[in-house]
Amino acid sequence: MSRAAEHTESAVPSPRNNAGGAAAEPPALAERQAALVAALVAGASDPAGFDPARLTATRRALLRKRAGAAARAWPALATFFGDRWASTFAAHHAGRPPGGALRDGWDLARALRAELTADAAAELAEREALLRYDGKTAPRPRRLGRARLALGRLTRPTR
Amino acid sequence: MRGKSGQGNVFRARPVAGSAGPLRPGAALVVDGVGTGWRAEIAGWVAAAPGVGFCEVIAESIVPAGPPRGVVDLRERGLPVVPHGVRLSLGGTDPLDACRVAHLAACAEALDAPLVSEHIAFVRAGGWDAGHLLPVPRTRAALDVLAANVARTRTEVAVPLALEPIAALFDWPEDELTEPEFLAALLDRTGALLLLDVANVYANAVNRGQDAYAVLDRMLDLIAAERIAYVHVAGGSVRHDEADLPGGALYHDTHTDPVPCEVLRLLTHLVERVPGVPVMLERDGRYPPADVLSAELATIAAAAR
Amino acid sequence: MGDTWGISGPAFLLLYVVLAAVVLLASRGARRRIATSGRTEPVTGIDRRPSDVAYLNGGAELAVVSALTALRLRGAICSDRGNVQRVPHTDPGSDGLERALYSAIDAPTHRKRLPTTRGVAAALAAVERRLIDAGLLLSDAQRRQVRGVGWWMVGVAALGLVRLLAGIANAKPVGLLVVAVVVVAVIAVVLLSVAPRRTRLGDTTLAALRGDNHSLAPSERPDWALYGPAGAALGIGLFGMTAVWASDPAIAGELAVQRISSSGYDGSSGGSGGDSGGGGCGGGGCGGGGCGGGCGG
Repeated sequence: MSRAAEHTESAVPSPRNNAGGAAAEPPALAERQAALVAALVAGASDPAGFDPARLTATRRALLRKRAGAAARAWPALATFFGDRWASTFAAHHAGRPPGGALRDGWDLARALRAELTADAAAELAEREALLRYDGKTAPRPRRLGRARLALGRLTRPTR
Repeated sequence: MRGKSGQGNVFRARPVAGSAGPLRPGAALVVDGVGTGWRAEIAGWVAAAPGVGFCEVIAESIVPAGPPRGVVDLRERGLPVVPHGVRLSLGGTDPLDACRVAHLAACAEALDAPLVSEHIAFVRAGGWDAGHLLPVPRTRAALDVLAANVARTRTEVAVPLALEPIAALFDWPEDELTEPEFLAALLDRTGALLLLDVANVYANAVNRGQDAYAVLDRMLDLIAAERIAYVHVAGGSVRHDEADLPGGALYHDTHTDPVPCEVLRLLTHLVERVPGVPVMLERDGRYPPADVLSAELATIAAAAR
Repeated sequence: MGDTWGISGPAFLLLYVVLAAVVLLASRGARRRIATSGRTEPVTGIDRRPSDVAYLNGGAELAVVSALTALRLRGAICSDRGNVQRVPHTDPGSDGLERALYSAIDAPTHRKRLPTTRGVAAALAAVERRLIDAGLLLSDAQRRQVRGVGWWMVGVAALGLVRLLAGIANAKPVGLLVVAVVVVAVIAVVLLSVAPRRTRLGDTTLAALRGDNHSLAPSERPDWALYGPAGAALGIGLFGMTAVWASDPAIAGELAVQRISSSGYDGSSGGSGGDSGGGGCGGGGCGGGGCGGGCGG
């Protein structure tokens, strides 16, 4: 953590000279912000000067938040894991940038397809029928998605 | 849990009992009673909870053309509703997304809101979206970025904008200013108002090893009381699974825990210096039974008197 | 040989179709009149009995699921794969149906067998009686009356059949008439077998309650820890089985509630400045209430 924060007055001068106008500053800040986000979500190394323990705590917090959002999108999947949801999600997604709740949960469901219970498997099958997802880009609705879903229901035994 | 409770004018008519001062008539947000975050999962409770004087909705969760029914009901009762943005990324060096700015402005108009609020933070950079609010460095460069983005936002949003400093789990090595100084400088440059989150003040002070009261006092010394639009109070907790981290476990502003006594005491201290400031409870999940939540709201109302 | 009965084929067909349409409209009107009692104002206070609301909306199965969910949320029962069993020394419940269910499940029992269990059946019959007396449900006699209106269409079908037979005897083409008679017969069978459960008042009362309690709709993912067991039961009663999946997927799984396709999800964030430490289960309260494996069934 920066020592500057512990004093009530600014003690540490800016590491960059305030030479030019606004044009000189933003790129440096932009690079720093990009490096930080990459370190937090994409598995890049910590940028210089940050407290690694704090960044670790932040990474974990971000994963927890992503797990919560994915649980809302995939309730049957999350319920299947119960208390292990957050840790399972984090283990799978650490270092992988967020794709949004739908994709995050989808990736996890596909990876663990073999272990899923009936409800979680049905949830995944439903989504697979309604949307097309290649694992890389945003899922898109399938044409005739609803028809495929109805067909799938007819061929699957109900409770 | 009923959507129409027929309680109509009670919230508007009743002044805050025993308030220490006037209700800040010139302020952007004039309310009777305490506020709460509106969430769809607890909409029935918000509609019926005693003492609710205003609400805040997450701007990204509503469609301006068709706000949630519960929010519309509240507006029909005359309750102010404030759109609160979380994804605008005012502190980011990327150009602001015009759609997001337009959306925030549309929310303000649809809800006839007295003001809107957003965060002093950034959310995305370098093509990656962090999915959460990250702190900006407290530097003059960051001030430039924030000022430009706030100015851009204010050209489209017709009502005042309040900025909320976030709870930061880390600081930047290039920090030049303390948080109170940074806030004061930002508000002076932009003319924006302050959404003072005392839970965040507490969290940051604890995690930085500072005295929360000293930090709060310094903020109030540097920032005029009239600039404070309203106040957030929220719960948090220390995570026991972080004992392995060097420096020990951190206090997390989770919004899913009860409000700790220390935060309530800090709130009381704030209200002594800024009487009549509107205060609201921010809760996002792991809700307790309705009567427990109402009791927490009443506790906050009492601490805020 | 002249036209059968002196009426030409196409002329009869036209008259027949017109007759069938008129009788159909009249039947629908008559059925509606039987289902309408004098009262037009929605009945109030029924939402204080979530089991009654559930029975009004979805019959015995929904009422049982609603009551079982309330019991489960209070920790009075444990559930697993559709089997339920009471937990000893807990609160048996606040209304007749809950208490009857609690009494009936001293051993693990699948919830689908419960409506026919003696005590539960009696409790359900009492609920039904209450709703009929309030003018919200049609009594058996009224439902028989509604179905009886179907005989008018049977008469029309019979007329067509007679004409059909006469036409065949006269060696006239009867193709289109066969189609018409079959259609009329099918409609008659439907009218004879189907009768609504609710009166018009029952429908309007249910709609009014859904409006008053829109915050319990599944699309809002109402939080059951906040609204409590009574709120949960009312939500299920008003909005059906989807309510269980929307608010507590764990309990939905435990009670073997059929999953209906979710219409997508709300992708926007629910929280703001703080970091949410949650992510345990989806939706509201998580299941897992202290059963200790007694529900194998």
